[in-house]
Amino acid sequence: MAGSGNLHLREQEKPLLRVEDLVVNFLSAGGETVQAVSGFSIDVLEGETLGLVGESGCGKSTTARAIIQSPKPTAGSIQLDGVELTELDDEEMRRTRPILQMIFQDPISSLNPRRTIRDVVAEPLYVWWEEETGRLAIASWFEKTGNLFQKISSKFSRPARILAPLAWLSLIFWLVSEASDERSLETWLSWLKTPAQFIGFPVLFILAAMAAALSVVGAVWLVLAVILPFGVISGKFGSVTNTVGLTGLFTSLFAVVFLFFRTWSSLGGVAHWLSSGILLLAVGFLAVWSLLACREPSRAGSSALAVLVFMLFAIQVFYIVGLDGNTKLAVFSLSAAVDGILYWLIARRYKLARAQMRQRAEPEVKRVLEAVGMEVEGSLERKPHEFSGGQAQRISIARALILNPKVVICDEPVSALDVSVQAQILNLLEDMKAAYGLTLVFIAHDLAVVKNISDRVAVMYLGKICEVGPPELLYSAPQHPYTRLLIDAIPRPDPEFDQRNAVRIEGELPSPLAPPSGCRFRTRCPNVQAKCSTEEPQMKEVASGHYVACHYPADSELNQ
Amino acid sequence: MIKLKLRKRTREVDETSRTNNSLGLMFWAAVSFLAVLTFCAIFADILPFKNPTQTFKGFNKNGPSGSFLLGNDGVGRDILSRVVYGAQTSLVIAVVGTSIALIIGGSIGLAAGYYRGKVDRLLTIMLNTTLIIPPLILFISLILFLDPAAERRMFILIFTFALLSIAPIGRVVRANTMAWSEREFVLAAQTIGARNGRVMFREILPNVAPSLISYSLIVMATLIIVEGAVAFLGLSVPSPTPTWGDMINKGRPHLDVAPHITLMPALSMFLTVLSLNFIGDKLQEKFESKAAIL
Ligand code: SF4
Repeated sequence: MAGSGNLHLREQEKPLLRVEDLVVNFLSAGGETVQAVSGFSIDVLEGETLGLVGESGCGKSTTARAIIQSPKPTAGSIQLDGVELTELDDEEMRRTRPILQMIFQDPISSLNPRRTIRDVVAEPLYVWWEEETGRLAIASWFEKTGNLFQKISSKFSRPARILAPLAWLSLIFWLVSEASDERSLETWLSWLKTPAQFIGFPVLFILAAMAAALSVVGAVWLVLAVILPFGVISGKFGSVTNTVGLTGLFTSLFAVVFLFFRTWSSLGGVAHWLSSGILLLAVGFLAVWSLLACREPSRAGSSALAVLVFMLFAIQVFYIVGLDGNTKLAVFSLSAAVDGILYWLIARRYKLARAQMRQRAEPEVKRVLEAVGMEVEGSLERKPHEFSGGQAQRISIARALILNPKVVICDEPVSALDVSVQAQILNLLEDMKAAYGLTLVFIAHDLAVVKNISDRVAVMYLGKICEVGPPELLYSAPQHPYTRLLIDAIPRPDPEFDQRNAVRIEGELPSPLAPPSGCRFRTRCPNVQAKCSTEEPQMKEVASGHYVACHYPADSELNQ
Repeated sequence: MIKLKLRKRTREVDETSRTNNSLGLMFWAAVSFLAVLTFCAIFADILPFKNPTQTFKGFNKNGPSGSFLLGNDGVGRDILSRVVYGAQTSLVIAVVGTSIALIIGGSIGLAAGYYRGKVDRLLTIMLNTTLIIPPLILFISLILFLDPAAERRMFILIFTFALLSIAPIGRVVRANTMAWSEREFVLAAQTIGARNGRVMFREILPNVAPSLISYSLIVMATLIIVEGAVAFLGLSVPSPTPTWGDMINKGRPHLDVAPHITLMPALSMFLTVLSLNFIGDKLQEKFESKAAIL
């Protein structure tokens, strides 16, 4: 078995999901290569259900995870609706994820024990809504400031190009001269000081001295130093986010250095602290915010707030440490009160936003929970461990459905459940498929489970496909020796039939570290011949739509 | 209707009493002790404590009495107020040091455990690097190099303590994160399109937090002891400011005539550390049994 070849792929039709020559290797703990999946190909048409069956360890779950790109497969192609998933970068893949959902084997483990059912089911909505609203708000701001900076840069492009490096240089110089006045840093920075004086020409020196004399001037200077290069670069790079990010990088670097010198050198002077604190706040805010804005525009708002609060806190701490006695107490209580109000306001704002989002999500959540047959009343605020396995699996299904996916991969969704519940969940999946127009990939280790729900069944052994076909043919006339063994192993509800006579598959599953040569099933195959160990069987069609990868399938002359 | 309500009530009562029982009386005793200590330490300036640096003539080495509840030390200062002001120092150092380590070590551990692979290896090396420095030598050299005049001793104490606690906390978080990342809900969160940051902070962190909190309480207790040891060597916050370790040190010569000078600060340190450890252990136990149900 375990054949290669892609004869079974339906070239004439346009499949929704198409996996071709998928290879997944990973390193074992001993550093050896585990060949979990080797050349797996399958296609699934829209609205079809594919049953994927094999023993545990045959690579079916690995295949499922490779399809959702976590982790990415070693080689091969996976096309979803014509999009090549393996070529998407992380962010593009993330945006594609809503249409490709997954249901897991262990229903309890697939729900976060610390969240309520309401939040578990609504989380997909939260993820995408937060992103959307964040983006909208920030995007307009960006356009405005971006345009402003573009304007500045085009107007002052030539002077800016000269002034910007000067501004930066003098800024650095100012910083160095300022810091090196301090006793403890004298020795550290003396080697820096001399070249700084050399480079820092008379003009720069005057500018720097002015800036150093007045912290306010320092602030103005800083703004100049930030805006000018911003303009220059934005003219050059075109993209606003890039520019913001770059400037942010410089400025945050600067902010860190600044913070360090400040805390070190002047634990005393109150006025100095206050002014530099405000300055630092502004710089740090701009810096970190822009850095984040560059990477994740949607997150810029809340990140900025966090940075702001943290900066404020840090400055307070450093400021208060520098005070003495009664002033310390007074300032401490005052700032504690201010902080308290501030944090309370922020917390309230967040709570409000969360509550609003919850409310907005509620009808959706109720709809899917009802669709999967859950009692909505009273279950929304409960935690996952208060539900049975079957209920938890329903909740998982609800979570997968809330984003209206196209393809749902079910990774042994019923094998951890009681037999009595299995049928319910299978029926539910069938219903959901009809109601939501889903395409299912249904993974199981048992042929019986997929028999009634699949349009097409693929049998997998040790990382390769043995046999593919419609269930009618595959179950009644299995061609591959492995499939026949699997079918014989299905327990029969026939009282005459002695279950002990059921065929057992002999031997152990060979190690995927060193799979057998030729046909991978040959170590356990009852029909094995010499050819099987030297030549790998290729997929061939035995009946319409029924493919098998075996040198000696059931209907061949040899067996008759 | 009434019957229904009644039944609900009893169930609620049952549940709360069960949680109380599982934590035990000792737990609440420990919590209240720490609460009282923290309260006194924060509001020491407002509460009617005596000036901790004022010497009362003629009360040298006096035992506990009506006006000096815990007695007087070798030069006649009020031990009670010195214990309270000493708590200020100890708690600030322990809490701030642990918090810094918690933020840094926690983020490192979270990232290492979640991303694994190269990130993990790099971050683990970083953590291990801080472990190879013998703490006391690091501490003494830092002090001698950066702060021989004891001006910024508090700053350096906190910095060093934080540095030393990063690795243990980071490792605990890393191991926990790895275990939780195996759970399918993490994959589920990725599948719905959540960013890595969101998965880490919304899905994994809440599950790691309980053990993290109880572990940091234990780290806090350790820092209090280390501060005592450091003060015993005369390397902690310089003298007029009371610290427990310094008080123990100063009481040593009078141990034969006035053991209470040493005993009182030692006792408060002992109780604080015991309480912290106890609370940490209890919480750990509770969360572990809860996790076992899942
Ligand atoms: S008959 Fe040969 S090719 Fe076919 S499954 Fe058995 S070993 Fe493989």
